Amino acid sequence: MNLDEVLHTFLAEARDLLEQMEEALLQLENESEDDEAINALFRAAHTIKGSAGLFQLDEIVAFTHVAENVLDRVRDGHQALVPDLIKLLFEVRDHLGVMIDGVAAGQELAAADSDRTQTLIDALTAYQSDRAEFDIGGPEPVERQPEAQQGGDGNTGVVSAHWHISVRFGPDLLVHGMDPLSFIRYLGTLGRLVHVVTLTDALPAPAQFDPERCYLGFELAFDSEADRDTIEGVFEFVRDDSRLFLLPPHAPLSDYAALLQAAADADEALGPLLLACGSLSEEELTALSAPAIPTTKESNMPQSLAEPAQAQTPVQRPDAKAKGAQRNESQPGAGTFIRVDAQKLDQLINLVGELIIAGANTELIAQKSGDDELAEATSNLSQLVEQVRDSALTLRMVPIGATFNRFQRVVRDVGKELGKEIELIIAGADTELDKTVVEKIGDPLTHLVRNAMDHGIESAELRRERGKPARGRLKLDAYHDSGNIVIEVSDDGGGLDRDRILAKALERGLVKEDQSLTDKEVYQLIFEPGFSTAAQVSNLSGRGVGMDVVARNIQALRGTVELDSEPGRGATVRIRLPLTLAIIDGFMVSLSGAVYVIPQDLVVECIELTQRTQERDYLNLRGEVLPYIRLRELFEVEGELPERENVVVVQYNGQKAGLVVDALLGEFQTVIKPLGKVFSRAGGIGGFTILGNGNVALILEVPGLVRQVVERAGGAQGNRQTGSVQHS
Amino acid sequence: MTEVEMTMTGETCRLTLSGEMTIYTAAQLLPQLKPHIEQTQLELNLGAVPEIDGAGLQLLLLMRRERATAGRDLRIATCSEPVRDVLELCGLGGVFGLEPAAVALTA
Repeated sequence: MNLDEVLHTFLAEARDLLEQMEEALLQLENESEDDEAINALFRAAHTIKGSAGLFQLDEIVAFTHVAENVLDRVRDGHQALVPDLIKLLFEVRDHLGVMIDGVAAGQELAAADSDRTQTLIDALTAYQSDRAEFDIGGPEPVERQPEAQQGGDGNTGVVSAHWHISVRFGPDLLVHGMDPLSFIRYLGTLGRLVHVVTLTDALPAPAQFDPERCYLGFELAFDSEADRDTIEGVFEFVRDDSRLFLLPPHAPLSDYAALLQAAADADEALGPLLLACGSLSEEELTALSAPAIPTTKESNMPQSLAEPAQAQTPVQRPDAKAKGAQRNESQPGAGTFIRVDAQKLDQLINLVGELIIAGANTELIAQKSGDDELAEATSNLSQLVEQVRDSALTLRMVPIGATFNRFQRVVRDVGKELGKEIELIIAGADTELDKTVVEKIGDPLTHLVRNAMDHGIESAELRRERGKPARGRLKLDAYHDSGNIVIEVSDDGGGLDRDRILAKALERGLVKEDQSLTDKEVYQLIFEPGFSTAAQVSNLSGRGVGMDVVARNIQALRGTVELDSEPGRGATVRIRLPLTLAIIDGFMVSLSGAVYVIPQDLVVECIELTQRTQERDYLNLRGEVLPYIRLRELFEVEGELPERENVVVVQYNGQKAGLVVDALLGEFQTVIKPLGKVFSRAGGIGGFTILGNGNVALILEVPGLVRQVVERAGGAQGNRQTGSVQHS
Repeated sequence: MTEVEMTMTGETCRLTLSGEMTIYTAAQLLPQLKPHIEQTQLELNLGAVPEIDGAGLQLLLLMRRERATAGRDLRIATCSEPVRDVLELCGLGGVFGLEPAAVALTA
């Protein structure tokens, strides 16, 4: 238990809430009457404010408070959600994000940001119109004040013009990382603490005293303009465990009766404390201390009877409301999720990796020993290890939907900026992939989405001319494909202009005049560094940086990117990524005694190399031309050629290639260890792993090898060259 | 770790705490403080307590209550700003014999 951890939880929750706000705002932009979205918006702001208060993030509290007030008016129907207000709320939400990021970074807000806070507060205040109306938010004090003034008989309302707050904190408060004092301190920021009494009644004898249990309680007289929701919000996080009474100024005497009764039940003598706080006068207390509450016997029986019931409601009702709200917030199956530190998961996966290596070692020894029982036991064990590995890996898998949903906002904003109406369609949101991949895919995706909107989708006029609906469509899709995840960004715009790309590529010297390129190869050119076809440079994209960066980012994730385009119909960018970065099923081969690993997913079949001529670099595979590469040559492996050579047929991205090796050794679970920087230029090698016997094996980087083989074969067959660098 | 140092001047036992009095140190402080509850005269020097929270405050309240039941008092001879702030916030300035100037809040 650690305060930092609690702060992290707060930050994570705040970010979730900001996302909910964004979703709600997007929803409201389409349908401004959606009550549920308005409520979600209000709740999110309210919760952020409440928890920010606990951490004394006063600036966030002050800022959110104003926003919450406006939202409250919207919720009550006093303020319509006009487009300008929605726009403002978007800005408020973004600014909150900046503030939260500032907290996360442990930085004070920059002066410019503080100015922004004030600007937004001013803008929000315009929607707050007359304050009096707004104050109705806490109806009790307003309704009761006049009633109390006329209450000469002493049973309708007390004289005290302060709030009285009585709180007994739950025993686990401290253990949960919260400090009871911070609530009192925060309360102090909402008004004036007139009188504070700290209760020690709950403190047990020293022998029973548990220093980590919270025994504190407070009676507070509190002078504040704040409404009930705001004051109650202070205790939002502890209300379930704590005993809390909130009595408004001039509260009915019966409210105090209920409080005294509860105190008496807990063996507390509260009367003198209420006197000390000035919340009750001597006379009022005496009246209450009489055997039965005298007022209930008075003539205005029905009204008085109604009063105690009402006395309960201020505490009970919002409580129920809050619980309902919480249930709503957590949405389906909240109880089935737990937040885990990503580092712990990484550690687990690392350990599983080590377990796999150790398991392989054991299995090897068992096989060597010739002990059948041992062999069977280890084989059982390795099956279990495999399952552990799979489930450990799925722990890190997250659906890509959340990432996709973030683009709703991007599409909306960019669309506005460009003056294009564009609809975002999301498919395959359930597709899962490794969390680390998800985190790193955001930037490239953003670029692709912006690019598609900027250059892909035409202006409304042009679309109408071309007989397409004025509203452009952008689609994000994700699906699994043979051990890879494929993410597609497609648009229904004009497609890529082959001739213009080619012209530009010639101009930039990326291709030669006489080269004949397939459409695909031409499209691929836009991923080359320094390539940009935008006739018009906009402030979004088209600065000539971007697509090459996208390609580089994706390659860094061991993925590839390719492009399909149909002129006039649209373009699709397809990103292919490995499911996970940590562990793969490997296929072991050997070259002159050294072991190499090929990712199993990419292996199609293995055949013996029968046509052993040195001149050709391709063979006939059931009537198909299969280009191949001799790994011996590629890696400059010395030594005698074995009697038999084998070809491992691998397939990547629809292209097959053969890798010629000495021997096939079989499957092996492989924990990928990255190569050091020194080896970063080693072609064809993607990493290494440690075998069961402790030896090191290199992992082949198949996509690069396939590209190389195909290019070489292409060069031999059609005597053409693409613009990319060729190895050896 | 919060250190507790004891000095005896005649009948008066003075405990000097250096370190925070918070949930992080409460469990370790309790056994160090408990034996001194029975001292005839007890003074606390909290000048070197940079931080105090509800858990630390409880410890002070426990000692004071125990001493009060035995008819003794518990005085805080010196205290740091954070400790003073907390005591004043909770209306406890006077209870521990702090300078009256600092007890304005509870007046």
